[in-house]
Amino acid sequence: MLIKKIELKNFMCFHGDTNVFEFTDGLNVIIGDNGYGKSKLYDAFHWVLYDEIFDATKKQFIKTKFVKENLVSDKAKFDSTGRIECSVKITFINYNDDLYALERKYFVNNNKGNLISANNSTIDFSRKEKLLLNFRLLKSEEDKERVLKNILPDNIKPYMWFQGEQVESIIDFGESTSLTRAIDVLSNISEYDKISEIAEQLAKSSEKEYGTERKKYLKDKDKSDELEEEKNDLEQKLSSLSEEELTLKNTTNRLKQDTEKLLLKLEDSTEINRLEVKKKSIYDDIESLSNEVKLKRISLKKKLFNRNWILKGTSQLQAKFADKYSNYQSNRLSIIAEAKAKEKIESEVLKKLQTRLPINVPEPIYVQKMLDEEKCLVCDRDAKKDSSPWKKIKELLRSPDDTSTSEVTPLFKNDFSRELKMIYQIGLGLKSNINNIDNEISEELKSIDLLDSRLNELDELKESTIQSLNQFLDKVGLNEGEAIDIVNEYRIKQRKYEEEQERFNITKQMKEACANKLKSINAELDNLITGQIDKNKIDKKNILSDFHKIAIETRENVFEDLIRNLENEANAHYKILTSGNKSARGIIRLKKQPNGNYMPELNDENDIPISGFNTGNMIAIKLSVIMAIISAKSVTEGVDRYTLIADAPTSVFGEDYTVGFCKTVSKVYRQSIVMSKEFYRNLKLREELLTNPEIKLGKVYIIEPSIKESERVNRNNLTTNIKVLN
Amino acid sequence: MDLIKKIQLKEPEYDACYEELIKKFTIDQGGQAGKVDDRLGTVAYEQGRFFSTKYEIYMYALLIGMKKNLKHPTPSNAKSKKFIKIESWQPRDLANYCIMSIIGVSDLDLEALEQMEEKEIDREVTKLKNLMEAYANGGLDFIKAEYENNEMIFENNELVFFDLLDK
Repeated sequence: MLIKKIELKNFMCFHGDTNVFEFTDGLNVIIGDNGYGKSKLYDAFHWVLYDEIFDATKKQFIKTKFVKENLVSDKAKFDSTGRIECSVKITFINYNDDLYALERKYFVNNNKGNLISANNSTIDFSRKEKLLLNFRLLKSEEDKERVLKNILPDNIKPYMWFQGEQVESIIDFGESTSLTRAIDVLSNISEYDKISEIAEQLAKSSEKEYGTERKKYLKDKDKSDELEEEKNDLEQKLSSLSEEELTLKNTTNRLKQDTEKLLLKLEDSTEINRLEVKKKSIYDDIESLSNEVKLKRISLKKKLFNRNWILKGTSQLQAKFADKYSNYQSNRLSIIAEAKAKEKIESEVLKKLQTRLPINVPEPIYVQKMLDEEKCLVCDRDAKKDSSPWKKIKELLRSPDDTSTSEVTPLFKNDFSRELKMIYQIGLGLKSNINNIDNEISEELKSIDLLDSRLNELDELKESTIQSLNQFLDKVGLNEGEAIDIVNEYRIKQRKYEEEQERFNITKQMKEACANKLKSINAELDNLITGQIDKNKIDKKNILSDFHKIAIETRENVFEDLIRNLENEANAHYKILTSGNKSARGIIRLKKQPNGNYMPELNDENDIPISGFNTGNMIAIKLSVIMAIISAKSVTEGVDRYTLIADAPTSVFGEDYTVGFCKTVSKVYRQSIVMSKEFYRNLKLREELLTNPEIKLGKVYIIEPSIKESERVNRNNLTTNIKVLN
Repeated sequence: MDLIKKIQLKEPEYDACYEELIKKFTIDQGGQAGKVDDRLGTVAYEQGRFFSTKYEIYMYALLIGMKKNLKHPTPSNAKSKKFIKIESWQPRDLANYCIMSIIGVSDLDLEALEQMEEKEIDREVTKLKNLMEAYANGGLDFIKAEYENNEMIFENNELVFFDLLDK
C-alpha cells in the first residue's frame, strides 16, 4: 500500500489539527533545517504503526507508555485545559484504490496546570472501498493484521523505513546472517537450504545401508572387524569434529559480528580516547606550569628580601651614612694623628735631654738581682718592693723601643670604629646591587610573563580540546567511560576472535584428515569384499552421495548468482548515487570471506581494492545495497507496493550525494517520502530537485517552526508551518 | 661596649593604629609567604601573600619612610605595639642596612658618642629607636593611604609592593 496522506494533531511540535501532508507517487520530500520537525514527522509515521518513537538520546525506539505527555504539543498543553487529544492519522491506498486509515490517539488531561497522562495510546483501523462513500471501522484482529502486513511486511521494513543513523546497522556485513537475511527477502534461497539438508540425510542413510550390506561380504573377519571398528570411531570423531566446527563457526561469526559492530564505534572511541589523553596531558602540563608560576611568584616576593630588592631607591640612605662615617673617620684619624705627633715630640725632647742612663746600663741581670734583693747594689741602700727607689731601679729594665715614660691616657672613652666600619662595609656592599635591582626585577617579571602566556595558551588549548571532546561525545552519543570500554572490549573480542578462528582452522584440517582416513578405510573395506553386493544398493549409495554434493553446489551457485545480481544492482545505484561526488568512485564487490561471510570491497577499474575508503563511502555502499535488495526484488515481486520513508538518509555523507540519492530513490521506489535538510539552505540544490528530469518528483514541502530555536525560551508557543512547494 | 649590639637589642614599636594594616599583609606568627600552613590554614596564606613576617613589613615601611622622609613619631598617648628584637630580623645584612640608614639620617654625633658615658649612650640609642619608629610609622602611613586610595590594587595586583617602591 502507498501513503496518500498523513494528518497530525497536537503531535509534538505539530500543534493544532491543520498539519496535513499529502503524497503522490514518486519522490516526496520534506525540507527543513535541523530542529525544524523532520524527525518528528518520521516519528509520527513510526508511532502510528509501531506505537513507539525514536529517543535521540538513547538512540533507540521507546514505547508510548515511557514517553507519555511528551508526545503532546507543548503549546496545546499550555493553551488548553481539560482533555487534550494528540493524534496521527495515515491514509493508505492499495492497488485497487481502496483506502485504509490508521489513526493513533493519545490523551492528556490538563487540570489547572496538573497534567494527568494516559498510559497507552489507542489505534483505529478503518477502510473505505473504492466504490463506497464512507470509511468503516475494522474490528477483527485478523483484518488489522492483514492491513498491517500489506502496509509493510516485517522482512521488508528495515529496507523501507529507516533513519540516517540507522543505515549503518541495516546491513551489517560482519554478520553472517545479515546478507543471507537480505538475500532471503529477494529470493527463495532457504528452499535450497532445505533441499541440501534432505540430500544429506538421504546420503547418510544410504551410506549406512551400504555399510550393513557390505559387512555380509567381507572375507578376513579379524581385519574387517578391526577396520569396521576404526571406521566407527572415525565416523564418531568426524561427527563430533563437525559439531565442533559448527560451534566454532558460530562462535567466530558471533565474535566477528561483535568486533565489526565495535569497529564501527572504535574509530569514534579511539578519537575520544585520543582527546581524553590529550586533555589529561594538557591538565598535567597546566598543573605543572601553574606550580612553576606559583613558585616563581612566591620566590619573586621572597626576592624582595633575599635579593635585597626592598632596597630599591635607597642609595641616598647609604650615601648619608657614608658622609657621616667619612667625617667621623677623618675626625678620628686627625685626633689620633695629633696625639701621635704630640707623643713623638715629647719623645724627641726626652731623647735630647738624656736624663737617663743609656739602655741596658747596668745590664738587666744586675738590675733584676737588685729588684729581687730589694737593695741598690750601686749605693748599697735598701729598696723595698714597690717603694720609690725599687720602682726607679725597675725603670732601668725598659726595652729599647719603650721610650714612654708614663702610662698613655686613652683618646676615646668608647671605640665604635670597628662596628661602624662593619655596617659601612655592609652598606657599601649592598649599594653595589641597588643599581641593578630594576634589571633583575624586569628579567624576573619577563620570565613570569612568559610562563603566564604559555599557561594562557594551554588554557585555550584545554578549552578547545574539551569543546572538541564534548562536541564529539554529543555527536557520537558516547561518554568517556563507554569509549574506553569499547576500545578494551574490541581488543579482547578481536583477540578472542583470532584464537577461535585458529581453532576453527585446526578443527577443519582435522576434519579433512579424518574424512580422508575414513575414505581410505572404506576403500580397504571394499577390497576385502568377496562376492557381489547388490548393485542397486551400490548405485543408490553413489547417486544419493552425488545428489548431496549437487544440492550443496547448487545452493552455493544460486547464492553466488544472487550475490552477483545484488552486486550489479548495487553498482548501478552506487554509480548514480555518487554521480555528484567526484572523489567517490569504484566498483562494489561483495567478497566471500573464509568464514562464509560476505564483505564489501570497493575496487578500481582493474578490480584492485581501493584502500582507505571512509564511513561516507561505506554508507553509500550500504545504501546502494539496500536499494539493490529492493530493486532486485521488484523484478520478481511487487515491492513497489510499499513506500520508502527515510529521515535524513544522506545526512552522514553530505550534499554531494543528495541529488544522486534522489535520482536513485525515484527510480527504485514507486513512492518515497524523504526528510532532508540539504535542500533547506542550498537553494541551488533545491532548484535542481524541483527541475531535474531524472528525478520523478512527488510533493515537496518546507517545514519551519513559528519561533526559531535560538529565539525561544520555551516551546509553549511553538507551532510548525507547512508550505507546499509544488 | 658595642654600639650596634645595643641597637640590635632594641625592640622597635609601631603605632597600634597600623596593626590591622600589618595583619592584612603579614603572617602574625611568622611563616612562609604564600605557603598554606596547616596550623594557620588558608588565613596564613592570605595574610602571608606579601610579607612572611612582621619585621619584613616593618623593614619595608622603615625604608620607605626614610626614603621619602616620612616621620610620624608615635604620640605619647597612643598605644604602641612591640615586636621582635632587631637582632632577630632577617636577612641580617638588611637589618644592618636599616641600622646604618637610621644612623645616617639621625643627628647622632659619632665622635661625641665615643666620649660618652654608657648611660648617655643608652639615651642616644633610645633616640635612634624612636626615630626608627617614627620613620616606620611614616612608611606604614604611606602604605595605608595607598591601600585606602585603591583597595582593589592590593587585592588584584600581586606586585603592588614592588610598584610602591617606585612611588
